[in-house]
Amino acid sequence: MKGFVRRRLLWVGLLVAATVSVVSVFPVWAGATTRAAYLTGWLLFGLMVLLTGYNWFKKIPYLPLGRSELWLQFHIYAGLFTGVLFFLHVGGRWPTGWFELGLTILYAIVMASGVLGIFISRGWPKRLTARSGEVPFERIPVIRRELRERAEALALSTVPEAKSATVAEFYLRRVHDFFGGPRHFFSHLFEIRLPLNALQNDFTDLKRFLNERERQVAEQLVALVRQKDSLDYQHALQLTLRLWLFIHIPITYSLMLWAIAHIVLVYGFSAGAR
Amino acid sequence: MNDQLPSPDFDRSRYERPNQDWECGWTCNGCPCRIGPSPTGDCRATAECRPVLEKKEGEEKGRWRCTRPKEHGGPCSDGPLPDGSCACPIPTCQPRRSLRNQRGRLCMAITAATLALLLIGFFGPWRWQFISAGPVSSHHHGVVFSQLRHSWPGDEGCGACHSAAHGDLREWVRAAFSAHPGPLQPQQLPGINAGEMTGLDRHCLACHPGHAFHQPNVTRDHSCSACHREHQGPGRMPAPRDTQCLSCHGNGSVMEASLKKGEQLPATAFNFRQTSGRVFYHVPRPEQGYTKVFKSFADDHPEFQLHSQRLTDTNSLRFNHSLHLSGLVKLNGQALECASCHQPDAAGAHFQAITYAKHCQSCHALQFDARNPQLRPPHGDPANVRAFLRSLPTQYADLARRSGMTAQPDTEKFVTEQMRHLRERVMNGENLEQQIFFATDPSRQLAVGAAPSQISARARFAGCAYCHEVGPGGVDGLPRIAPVITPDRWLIRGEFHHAKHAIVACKECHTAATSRQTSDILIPSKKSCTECHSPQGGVAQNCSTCHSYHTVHAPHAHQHVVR
Repeated sequence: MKGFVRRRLLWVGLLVAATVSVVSVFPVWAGATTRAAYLTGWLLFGLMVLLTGYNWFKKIPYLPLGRSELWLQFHIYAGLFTGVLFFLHVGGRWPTGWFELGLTILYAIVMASGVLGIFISRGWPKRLTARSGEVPFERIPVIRRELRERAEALALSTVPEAKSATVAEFYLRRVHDFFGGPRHFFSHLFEIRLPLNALQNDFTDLKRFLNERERQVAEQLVALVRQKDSLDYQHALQLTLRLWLFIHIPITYSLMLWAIAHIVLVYGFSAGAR
Repeated sequence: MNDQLPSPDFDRSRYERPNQDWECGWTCNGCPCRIGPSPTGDCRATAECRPVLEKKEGEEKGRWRCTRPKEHGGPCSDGPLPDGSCACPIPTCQPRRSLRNQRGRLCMAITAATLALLLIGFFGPWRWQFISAGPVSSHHHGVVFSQLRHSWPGDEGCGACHSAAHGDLREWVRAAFSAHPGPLQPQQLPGINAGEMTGLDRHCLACHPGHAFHQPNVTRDHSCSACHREHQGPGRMPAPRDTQCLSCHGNGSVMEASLKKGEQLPATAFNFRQTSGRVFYHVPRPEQGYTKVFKSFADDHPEFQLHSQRLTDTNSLRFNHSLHLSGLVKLNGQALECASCHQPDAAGAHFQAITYAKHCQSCHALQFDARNPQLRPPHGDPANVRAFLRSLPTQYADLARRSGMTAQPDTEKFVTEQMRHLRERVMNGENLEQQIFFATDPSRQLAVGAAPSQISARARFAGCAYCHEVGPGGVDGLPRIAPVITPDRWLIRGEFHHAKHAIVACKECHTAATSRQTSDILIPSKKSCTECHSPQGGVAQNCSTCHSYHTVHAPHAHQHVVR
C-alpha cells in the first residue's frame, strides 16, 4: 500500500511538474517564436503516438520494453498531460472549421473515454468484490444456466410435492424470463435496485396464497433470484469494464489518422504561417 | 445486500481464453462444448466423446468404451453405439466472435470509415469548406472579395492566400513537404524568430502592397500572419497579441537598431500622420524616439509624453475650467457640468468640437449695448465687427423694425435716441471699437450702460480680449486676434473611446475642477489608466487596446488582383 501511494505521488508530481513547466514556458515560446503552436502540436502528436503504442506494446511482450504496469501508469498520466498540451495548442479557442471541429471532437471522445476508463477501472472492482465476490466474466453464462436449472427444478418440484401449481405458474409468468439472460443492465450500473425489489415484493405477495411447502420453495427461489441479480450485476459492470475500450481504442486510431491529415493540411496551407 | 455467488471453478482445462477470436455459439446458453470452434470460426463439434475399442484377451469383437471426461459428466449411461460412434452427438453451433475480436474488427471498421471520410472530404465537392479552418473575417469577406474569389483557385477563393489550393491532395502534400521547415524538420521550429516573414505573408502583399506602415525606423518587416490570425470566425479579426508587439518593443537589440536607424532619418520622415481634417496636438519626437524597452503597460510602459515632458496647451483662448465648474456659473439655472459643453460625437468615442455658437454664445453673447441686448456684433472676423460698428444707425433701424416699429419717424427717433445714449457712454465710434476689441473687464459694462438693478444670469460682455489674445497688427489697422486652435486629438499614438469609459465620472480622470489656466493639459496620466488597466485593476491592458500597429502613411490602396 505504501508503495502504491508513493508511486501515485511520484506520477502526480511528474504530471504537475510537466504542466507547470509547459504552462510557464509556453508564453516564452510564444514570444520567442511564432511557431509555438507547431511546437505544442508536435509535442502533442508525439505523446499521442506513444499513448497509442501502449496497445501494441502489450502485444509484443518478448521485447524488453519494460513492465506493462509501468506503461499503464505512463499512459494514464501522459494522457492527462495531453489535455494541457491540447488546450495550449488550440489557444483555448473552440474550432470554427469542420475539419478542426472533427479533430477536437475525436480528441474529446478519446480523452473522455480514457478518463471514464480510469474512473471505472479503479472504482468498480471494489464494487464488484463488495457486492458478490469474484466471478470470471467468461463463466457468467455457465453460472446463469446453473441457476436457471436449479430454479426451474425447484418450481416444478412443488407440483407433485405440494400438489399445487401456484409457484410453477408464478415462475412461468414472472421469473422465467428473469433467469433467461442478463437483465437490468443500466439499473446495475447506477446501483438501482428497483427491479429486484419489485420481484421480491411479488414473491411476498404470492406467499399469502401458498402452503407451507410452497413457501419453503418460494424462499429458495427468492435466494436464487438474488444470486441471479448479483450475477447480472457482475455481468453489467464487467461488460462495461470491457466496453469502454470499444470507444477508446477505435476512436484513437481515427484520431491519429485525423491528426496526420491535420499536420499535412497545416504545413501545406500555412506555408510557414502559424 | 451481499449475495455471494458460488465459488468459481478454476479448473485449468476449462479455463476460457478471451484472447481467442472465436467462442462456442452455445456459450451464451451456458453450455459451451468442450471442443470449441476452429481458429477460423468453424464449429468442430461432433460428439461428446470418441469411444475406444477395448478387447480382452480372447475376445474377437471387443467392447466400445465411452471416453467422456469426468469434468463433463464422465462416461455416459448409454455408452457408445454398436458401430463405435458416440451416442451423445453435440448439436453444431454458429461460433461467435469473442469481445476482443469484435473490438479489433470495430477498430478496423472505424479506421476504414475515417479514411473514407477523409478522402471524401478531400476530394468531394465540399472539400474547401471541409478543410477550411473556419470562416474568414469580415475584412476578407466583403463585396469586392466575394466578386473576385471565383477567379482564384478553390471554390472559396482559398488560392488567393494558399498556394496549396491550386491543386488537390497531392499538391497539398507537396506543399507541406516543401514548406520550411517541413513536417520532418520539427527540430528547426525553435530557431525561427518571432515575426519573421513567411510565404503566406507574400500573398498578403499582393493585395496590400508595401510593408511600410509602421514607424519609418523599423528594422525588419513583421509577418502579417503573425498578428492577423485568419479563420477565427466571421466577425472582425481578433486583435494582435501583445507577444507580437513585444517581439520588437520588448527586445533591447531590436529597439537599439531602431534607434540607430531613426537617428539617420530626417525628422520629416516621422511626420506621416494623416489628420483627415482633425487638429492634432503636435508632440515633438523624443530624442530617443519611441524605443524604450518595456514588457507591459502597467509596469514599464513609458509615461504619456504630455506629462513626461510637461507639455502645455498653446491655445490662445483664455478659459478657466475651474471657474466654469465651480457652480457660480449657471446655465438655465443649472450649474455647469462637463457634459454641458463636451458632447460626444456620433460614435461616442470622442467629443464634438467646441464652437462659440454652440457652446459659448448662450452665456457669452456679445451684448455691447445693455439697453438693446438683441443687438450683437458678429463673432469671428474683426473686419466684420468693424463693419457692424460703422453701420450702427442702420443696425438700430433694423432692430426697430424687428421690434415692430413700422413708421419711419418712430424709427428715426429710436435710432437717434440710441445713438445719443451710446455717444454719452463712449464719446465716439473709435472709442467704442477700442472698447469692444480690447476691454477685458466685464464689470465695466455696467458702468457704461446697464442699469444697476439690471442683473443678468449671463456673463457680461466686456470685449474680445476677455477671451482672446487681441493686439495690434492686423490688416487695415484692425486689431489682430490670435486664432483659437483647440486640438481634437491629444493622444495621437493611442486611441481612447470615451463611451467605453462612461461608467467612470469625468473628474475621476480629468482634474478640470482645479484647472485655472488654458495651458493646463487635462489628459490623465498613465497612473490614472493603470488603476483599471492593469492586472490589479482587472481590465485589459493589451497593446491593441490603445494602439494600432498600422500607422497609415498614405491612403491604403487595396489591389485585388485576379490571378
